[in-house]
Amino acid sequence: MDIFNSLLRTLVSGICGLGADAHPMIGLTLISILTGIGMLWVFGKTSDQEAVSRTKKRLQAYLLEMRLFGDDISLVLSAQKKLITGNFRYLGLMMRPMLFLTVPLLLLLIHLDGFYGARPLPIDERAVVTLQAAGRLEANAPVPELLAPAGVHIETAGVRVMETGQVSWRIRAERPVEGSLTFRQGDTEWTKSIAAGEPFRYLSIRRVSGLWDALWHGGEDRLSEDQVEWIEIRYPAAEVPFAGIELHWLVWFFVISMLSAYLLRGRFGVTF
Amino acid sequence: MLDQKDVSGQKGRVIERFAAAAAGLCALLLPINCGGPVTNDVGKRIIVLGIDGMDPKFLERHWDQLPNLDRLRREGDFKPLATTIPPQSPVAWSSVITGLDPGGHGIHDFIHRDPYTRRPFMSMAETAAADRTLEIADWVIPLSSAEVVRHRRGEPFWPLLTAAGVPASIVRMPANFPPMGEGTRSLSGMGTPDMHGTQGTFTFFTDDPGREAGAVSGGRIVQLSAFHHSTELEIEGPVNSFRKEQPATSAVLTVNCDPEEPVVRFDLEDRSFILEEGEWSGWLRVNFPLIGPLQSVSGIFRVFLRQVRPRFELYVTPVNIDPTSPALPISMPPSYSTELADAIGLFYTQGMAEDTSALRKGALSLDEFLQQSHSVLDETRRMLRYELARFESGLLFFYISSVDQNAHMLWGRYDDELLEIYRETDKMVGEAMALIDGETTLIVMSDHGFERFDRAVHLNTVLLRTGFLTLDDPRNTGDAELFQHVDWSRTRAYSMGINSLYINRLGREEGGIVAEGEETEQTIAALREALLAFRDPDDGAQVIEELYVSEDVFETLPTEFAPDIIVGYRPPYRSSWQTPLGGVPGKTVVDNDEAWIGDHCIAPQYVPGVLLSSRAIALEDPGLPDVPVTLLKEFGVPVPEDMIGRPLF
Repeated sequence: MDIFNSLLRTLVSGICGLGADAHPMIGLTLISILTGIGMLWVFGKTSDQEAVSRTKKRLQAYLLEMRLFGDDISLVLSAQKKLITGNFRYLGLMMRPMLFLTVPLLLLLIHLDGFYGARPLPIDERAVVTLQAAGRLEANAPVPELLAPAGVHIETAGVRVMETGQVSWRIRAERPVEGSLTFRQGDTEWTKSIAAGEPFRYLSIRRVSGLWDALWHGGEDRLSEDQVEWIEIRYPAAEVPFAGIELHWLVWFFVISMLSAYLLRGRFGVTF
Repeated sequence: MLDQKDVSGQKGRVIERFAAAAAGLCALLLPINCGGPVTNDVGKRIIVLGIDGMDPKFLERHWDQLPNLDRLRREGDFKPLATTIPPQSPVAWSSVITGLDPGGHGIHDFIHRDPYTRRPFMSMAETAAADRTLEIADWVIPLSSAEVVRHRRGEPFWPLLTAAGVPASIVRMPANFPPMGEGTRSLSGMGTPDMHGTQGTFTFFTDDPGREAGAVSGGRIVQLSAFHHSTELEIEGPVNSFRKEQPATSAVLTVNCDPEEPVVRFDLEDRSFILEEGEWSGWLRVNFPLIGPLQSVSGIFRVFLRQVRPRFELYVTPVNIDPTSPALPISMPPSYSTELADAIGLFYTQGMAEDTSALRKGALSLDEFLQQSHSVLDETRRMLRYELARFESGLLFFYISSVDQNAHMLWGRYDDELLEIYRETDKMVGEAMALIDGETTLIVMSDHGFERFDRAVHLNTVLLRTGFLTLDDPRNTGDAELFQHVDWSRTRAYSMGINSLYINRLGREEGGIVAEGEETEQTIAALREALLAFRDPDDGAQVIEELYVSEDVFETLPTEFAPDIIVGYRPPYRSSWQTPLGGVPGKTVVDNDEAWIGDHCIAPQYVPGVLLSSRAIALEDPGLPDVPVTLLKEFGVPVPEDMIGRPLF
């Protein structure tokens, strides 16, 4: 899983990182177009193009039938019935390519959210770091020691939440940082990446130890020790600005990828 | 099918039609935007800083500590500014807004009363629920919108400016909720409620069993049962008017205390924040659900972790209207409050942000109150900077509340702390002075000054002792509100509000006994004689300086909501906290042992405001209604006939 996540991270960081210093839309547009092309290719390979084309033509014919024979109620009702069943047939033809597209798209979206879903800690703003222990905390158990890289100030002692087994600290970035927090308890150490300052970059909000969790939180390799379930930094949510509008990255992604797929469908000889 | 020629022909016709429609629309709109008396003075700039409660005596004592105000005085002018009768902020600022005296604008006190039932209500504005609703089971569907009813009469001056093409920004003008004036940038000020619809209701959570729980003036104390490390606190939001029972909405704030360290993690909705003992949070946005996930309202609040051990104590500010998603109209245009929040961050939207109630009720210490108060001042400074930076022409009015609210808690006893507030305000004046040039005038003004408030007068008890008010049983004196034990059939006068005295008139008040005409005049004369002769039982000092009969002192005949007589106390006296809501305690005058030690609700000659200007002031005795008249004159806009002010320059 770590190798798989690492490959996806590298891919997303490589494409989305292009021009990120100048504007996040550059990388987002690029990966959205590539995704649109990819979806088109998969759709073309996995769908029954002949059946899709035939069904679409029939649907158009039913519509025309309703328009031409609008004064014949029995014909209109019959065309409407065929239109409904035709639509279901069309949706059925979409199912197979959708099944092929779902998993890779989901994985891509998870990793894109790592890049665009949050922004690095703003300088001089406070954030909370939480370590989730594998079990309940004991009142007399020592608190893990938190060590921060230069430029990150640990503002409070760790707050132990006994019922949930969590320890939280408040931190503040004093300057741009790209490094790791270290949590030490006895001889054991855990690390968690941290980033502060501009620009957009791949961020790992939560570093996890579980295999299933790693599917959803693939920003870092899994924690090797099983005493800790996860370590999390609450990065502020981000929106992507473009032409004076700030929108969630997903909106831009879907608009650009769908638009590019629609515009390039003829070049790839794909009907949908 | 249409060929290319047809299409282009159709396009041409569409463009022609669009152009004709646009021209027609422009012709229709021109008279709206550009009609009326267009002024020739649009390029002129006037900045008015309205500094509530800035006192001329305090300035005179500290000119050397206030370099910008001192320079403004030396290079321009400085005069005391006559205040209103009574010198209360809503009354005084309404005169600034309308150019009328209280008889004209109809605001006479913080609290007015229904003349028939004697029930009190807020004088500035009230929120009225939807008058048409549909009830289905426990749900209430409004068929008309709720509205905020403004009680002030008279036209504000700034719509006259904007109608003449003079841009106007009116930021935090008191008694301007909801904000008025199409085409103006306006943010409402004093009188803007919190999400509970009050002037500010703080919450203080504690597990101290010795602390009495319940509602207190301006807040509520919530007793927590003892907890080990974690507990859930209910942050109260507005009432849910979609439910028949109108229960209060709420949000959960989870508290997680470390077992040893004085540090707490708070969880609110999907986020967490950590505070050490003695720290304030930033603004927290919270949604209060009204119809499950379908409909909610957004509010903002801050918390102060006062203590973790041995007793947990947490102060929560009043839940303010979220300026980015306002539940009530707080700005004009509606997007203006969002624009401000985007530029300077979230800010207090409630009218009076400094939490004097929390200090009075012991939820904050004086130091903690000052921290909160300075944070309000900091927000105000950022807002002023933003407005100054974008100010190009016309009028910028900007209101600052900090001097007034701090003077109430510091006056005469904590001079250094109050001077610090004045210094910070002086810096803001300096920032505005940087814009002064040949085309720009700066006016700094206040609505009233300050005096000590050492002794509290239970005016209804004075009326009881002098035979104007009678109880059902003489032993029934006490703090009970709304005249619970007053025998109206034997009562000739009563007091409600801070300075207001009413005759119990036959035909006006329920069970009133004093007839119009001669009997009323005799009662007023008798009241004057008795109250001016009344002396402090402790030292024999005169308590009341003057009584002002409304019909005599105002140019416009007052409304039925106006008091018959306005009481002008002599400093250091003021009406007690029990008097405004109809309490009749046992003693007539008591020591003021509250944290609220400075006041201005007394005879107006003791508490004039200030007027500083970058230009010489021609008037010898300027007053509050002169300010709007001057602004209109300066921009060449005709002054309405009912405005009673005179030009300052």
